[in-house]
Amino acid sequence: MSKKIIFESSEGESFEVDEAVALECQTIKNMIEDDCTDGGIPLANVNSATLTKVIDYCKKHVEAAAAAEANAGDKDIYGANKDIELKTWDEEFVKVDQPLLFDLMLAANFLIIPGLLDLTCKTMMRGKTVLQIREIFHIKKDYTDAEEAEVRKENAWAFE
Amino acid sequence: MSIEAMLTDILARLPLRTIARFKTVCKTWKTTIESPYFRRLFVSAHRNSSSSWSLLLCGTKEIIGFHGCETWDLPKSPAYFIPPSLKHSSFGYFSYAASSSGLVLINDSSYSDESYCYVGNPVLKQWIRIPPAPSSSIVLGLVTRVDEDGVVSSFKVIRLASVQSMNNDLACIWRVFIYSSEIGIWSFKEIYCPHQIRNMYYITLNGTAYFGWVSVYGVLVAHDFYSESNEFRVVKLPDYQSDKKGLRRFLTMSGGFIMYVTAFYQTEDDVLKIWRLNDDDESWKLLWVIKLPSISVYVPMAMHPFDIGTVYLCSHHDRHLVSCNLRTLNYTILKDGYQDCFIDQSVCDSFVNGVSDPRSSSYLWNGVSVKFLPLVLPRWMGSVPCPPQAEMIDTVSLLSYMTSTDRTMKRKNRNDNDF
Repeated sequence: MSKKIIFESSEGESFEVDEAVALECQTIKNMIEDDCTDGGIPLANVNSATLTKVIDYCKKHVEAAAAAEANAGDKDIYGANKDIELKTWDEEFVKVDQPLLFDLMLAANFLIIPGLLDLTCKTMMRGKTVLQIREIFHIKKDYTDAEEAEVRKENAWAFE
Repeated sequence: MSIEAMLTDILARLPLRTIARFKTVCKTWKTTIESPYFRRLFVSAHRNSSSSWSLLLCGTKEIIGFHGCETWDLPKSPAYFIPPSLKHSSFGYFSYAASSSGLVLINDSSYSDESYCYVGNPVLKQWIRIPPAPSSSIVLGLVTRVDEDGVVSSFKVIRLASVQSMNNDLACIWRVFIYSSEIGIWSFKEIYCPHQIRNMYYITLNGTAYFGWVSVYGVLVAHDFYSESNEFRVVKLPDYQSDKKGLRRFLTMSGGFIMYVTAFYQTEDDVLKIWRLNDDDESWKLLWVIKLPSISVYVPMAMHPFDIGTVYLCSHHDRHLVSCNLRTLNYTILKDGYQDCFIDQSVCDSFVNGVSDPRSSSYLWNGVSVKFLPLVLPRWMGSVPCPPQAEMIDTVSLLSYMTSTDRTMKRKNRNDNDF
């Protein structure tokens, strides 16, 4: 039996996971190494819905890493290991509504899960217009129309 | 971590095309994105992702292109952004002449003695107009220096004024004009070479140009155009055997190093060997010795600019372009439009037609070819270094200037003919 780690969500709900899964989170890894995980780890700023997703993600990636190790070495034409299956899984995984995506990103940042942080950031920002970004992050436009047009002109290549 | 700091972290994970667009979100974002701190954060977050690149035959015709990289996220490979009229030297007076670290050099040959040339980044659409050299000369090339983050810090344009033979044609002196982006003026330099340089094709890395085709076999000559030196350095090639039949040798670039590749074509043991030029610029490290069953069918062309484990080959028989993974010896046929890959079959055909069948007994090639040059985008969207007093123009202005020059020259030629 592998060692278990217990997470506690902001609602006080407990989640038991294998240590290997918890180790995907850099923050937890440090805690385990420092031996301060007895009696569960309270995550005051991660709610249950988010935590469930985070655990799903970590489980999947631990399994995929184990599978990849079994048949290692095959690189594609880009010179990078590309697991198509895992990529597809990731894409499906982040098909969630905007608030949950945002919470996932905050959790990935807090727990330090680089892969999940990368995934959520890109999903959140990619393909978004400047207007949408202002809306998501509650940013007030502080450019005058002329100023904005000028910045846009300087970076015209990115708008084509 | 504050939400602002986290936002910076998030932004640094996105591709450059997205980041550049987000400069218009608000003033704070623009300031953040343009800060040196952010640039370093971005470069370190994208350490492991490759950058878009094109492989160009004779430095001008794109044969392979890859885009869709995590660094830039461009819709096309870099060579696509060079205006098409510049890629075909037969058209007009302007032509694409060279590239280095993602910058390209455009040559204007309309007025031979007072011609401007242009250095720019075709993706960012920024061009610098370089004034004519002090006297008659031809464009030789472009070299660059990049800083530790991979940002181009300066460039030099080199024009060749004359070549003088010495010692009964054994050696030569090159007289060159060098324009530096740091000071914005032309300077003159004489460079002595202990051999003759037979071919102007070179490969460039970090300010140095390497010439493969020299009057003596078994060596390269190289010159660092940023140095004070007045000589070409001679670099001995490893494991050199002349008069070996069915051998192809070439220089290429991969993983930030100059690479030397040899391929023997023999019935029993076709062998591909790849060496890397070490940092000392004179010793070589043997990276791969691989027996390939198929070398006599496939002509090795170049290496992947980022992955030292991938070589591109071209089939003599059916003209397919193939990538070979040296670690696993797996071959993949490259297809145009598949996996962000662009292939120009006609360029591939013209290359293969020019290479004689390696199995024929007359095949003998002692020179080191520098045929395929990579155009690789830099790791950050830094502006083209702008020399003092120089003017930066966009691609539209460049093209309209070209059109008007072409028109003027045609009128001038017509008038000349009338008399």
